[in-house]
Amino acid sequence: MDYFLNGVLSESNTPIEVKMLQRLTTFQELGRAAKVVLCGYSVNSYTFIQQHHLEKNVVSCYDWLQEVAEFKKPALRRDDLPQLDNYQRENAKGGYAYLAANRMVARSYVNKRGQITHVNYYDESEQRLETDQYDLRGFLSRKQFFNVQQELVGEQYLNPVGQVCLDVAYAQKQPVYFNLIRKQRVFTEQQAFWQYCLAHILVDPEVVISERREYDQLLKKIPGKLRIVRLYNANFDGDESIAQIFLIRKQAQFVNTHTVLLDEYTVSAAELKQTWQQILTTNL
Amino acid sequence: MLYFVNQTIPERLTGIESAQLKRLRMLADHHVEAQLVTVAYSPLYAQNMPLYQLRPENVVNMYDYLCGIDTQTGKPVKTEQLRLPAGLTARPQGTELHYYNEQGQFMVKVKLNAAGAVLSVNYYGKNKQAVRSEIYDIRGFKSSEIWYDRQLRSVQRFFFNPSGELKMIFFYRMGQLSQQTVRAVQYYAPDGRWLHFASEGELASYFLDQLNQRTERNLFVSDRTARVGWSIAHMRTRAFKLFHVHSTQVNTITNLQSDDFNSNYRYAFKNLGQWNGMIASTHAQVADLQKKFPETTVYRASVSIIPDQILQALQVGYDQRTPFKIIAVARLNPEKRLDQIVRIFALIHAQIPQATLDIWGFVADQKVKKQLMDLVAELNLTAAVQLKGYAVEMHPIYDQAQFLMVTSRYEGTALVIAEALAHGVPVISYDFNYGPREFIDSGKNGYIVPVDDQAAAAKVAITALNDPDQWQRLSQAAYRSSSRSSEEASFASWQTIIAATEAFYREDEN
Repeated sequence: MDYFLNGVLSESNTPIEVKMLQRLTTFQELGRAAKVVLCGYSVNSYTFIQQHHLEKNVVSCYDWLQEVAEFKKPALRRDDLPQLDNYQRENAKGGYAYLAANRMVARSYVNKRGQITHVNYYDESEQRLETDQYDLRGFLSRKQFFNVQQELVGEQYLNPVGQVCLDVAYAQKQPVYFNLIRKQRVFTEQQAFWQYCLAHILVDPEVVISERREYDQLLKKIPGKLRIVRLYNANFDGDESIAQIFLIRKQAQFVNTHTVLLDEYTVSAAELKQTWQQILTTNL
Repeated sequence: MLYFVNQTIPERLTGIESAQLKRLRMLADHHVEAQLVTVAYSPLYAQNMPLYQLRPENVVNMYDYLCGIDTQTGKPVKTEQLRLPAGLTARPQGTELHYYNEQGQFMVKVKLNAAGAVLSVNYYGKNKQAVRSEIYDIRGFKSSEIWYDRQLRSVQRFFFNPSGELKMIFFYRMGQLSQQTVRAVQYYAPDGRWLHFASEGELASYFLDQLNQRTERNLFVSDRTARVGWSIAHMRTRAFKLFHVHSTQVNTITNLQSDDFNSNYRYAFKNLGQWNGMIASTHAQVADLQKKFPETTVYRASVSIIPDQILQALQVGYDQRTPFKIIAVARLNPEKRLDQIVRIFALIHAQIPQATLDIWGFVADQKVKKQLMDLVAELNLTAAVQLKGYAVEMHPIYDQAQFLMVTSRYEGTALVIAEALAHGVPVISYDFNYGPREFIDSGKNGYIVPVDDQAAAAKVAITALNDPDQWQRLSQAAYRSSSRSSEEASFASWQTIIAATEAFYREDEN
């Protein structure tokens, strides 16, 4: 199986995601089974995946971490937060404010379809204490907690039945601790955490492509036959040990035999297919 | 229902908790429904209950109540029941287990008690920084989890029920007094609704309101007013509320009518309209408080309640006791002035070299302990004076003693005086407020001597210790005088308070 590592998918995809999805088709035409692997947290990705019928072509790391599987219920709407019924609800921009007398204790936010995306909770000074994010598949998905300086201090990722699956601690805005509570694994380095996750998510990886710089280093420990890094927007300064091929868009980026010129943004579909065929044949 | 509100049930009782327990038993014997109410979080309090023969129906704790925890549930958690991260290697370190990953990085610390029960599990992030601490209740479940920041300050605390469901979150901030203070409390009520509180005090008021609606015609007695008074005073539901003055009411004990109030009671004294009255233990203090606050009802209820089985026990004679054994019973605190007792004892020991002094009580102040030990050494009394520590069971100790000495600076009532007298131990006490004059008839069941008059105290002790007949007369008088501390006598004063509570609610009905 071939995998393309990326962050999230949404209605506002960048050209990177657009070209990645087109490549899925190219690979299928070349007779290769490929999937997109989403490493970013998003309560919206699933909506995009569903609308574009990509369920079989995309796998989400957070869905795996949060044991979402086939869970699906209607998204929560404004009256689906009975826990806040002790407080006066009033319309507010983008959602509803919950008031104790004149003081706001919580605020919910809804999308264009009236579905709740998240709820913020506030202290006496109306500083944020907590943000609860609701997955549009109908469950409370993530809780984030903030200190009085409004820095993120910790996150909890929950499964659809409300159990904490992943606990992340932050110090100076950086994650310093990852506890996969239900899988009984604990990490202090983000790389080690993601490597553990990908080792369980990627089945028999052959070609693995990192679509964005933040995932390049993850390739290093993936036992694929061909690891590829895209260098579309940067000069080649990558770590040669992480991949066999570095895709470049400009002639000037050629620095060694690891670099391969392939500008997915400008070449035709036929040319793209031919170039990929050549890369795969040469390197596999 | 009578609710006696305090912080917790500690392993080592102070006079206040001791008084509460005796009051509770006395009322139970008279078929009056009463409960101890505690508002502090304590994962160990349940193990203290059997020490004091407390049953689940005797106690209601705020965290147990709000989180839906039975007072008695399961057995302590053992290490093998923990779901710790896999792939770690354990290394024992005393009563702790330290866990390391394959790279030798310190990841987890499990703290155990002497019996191997898990007390806490700490998790460490980068640079060995503690990030999480799970606290295990002795009843066999994770009851709380603390999140730390880089400075090891608590930023959040989560509370759970035995099923692991989240029931409450405390958010903390750095307070003006350089300590972490509650920034907000979120509570998930049993009806599924969420409640926001600005402080732990507000949460406690809500809890007390819940109790007030659970039972009828309730009396709330604040036994630690500095800690729980505000919450009782700010209950939203109507209730009969009293605060118990367990110490002197002022800081300047030479002027009992001064406005320089003891800070433990200042808030209540300054907001008497929020209360239905107050309780004091001795006639003298009731009179002083009534004079100071003529508009307020001051009830008397002795905290020195001696159970009937003690009063009816066989008397212990001179020959059955340890000869020349003098005791002091007080926690090691400056206001108890235990150095005075050591100095008095030095005078006695100079005349009666066989005399010994045992000081019983827990160490509340290490400095006091060191000063006492230094003084004992300085006076060459090491072989005769012992700091014995805290004892749960005091009866055999009293039954071996020939005198109790009390030299406090002040007391609400000196509970130990009544206890000693009930065991036939004559008491030698300084003449302080309040207590000695309530119990000691000087020259009959003990002696009251002027404050700081060490020579006078030593003289009466030496005379009686050298005269078994005189000592026996003092002891018999001590036994006889204890009837004034009987459950029956105490119940009479509580009947007055109960009647006032009934009258309060009858007013509502009319």
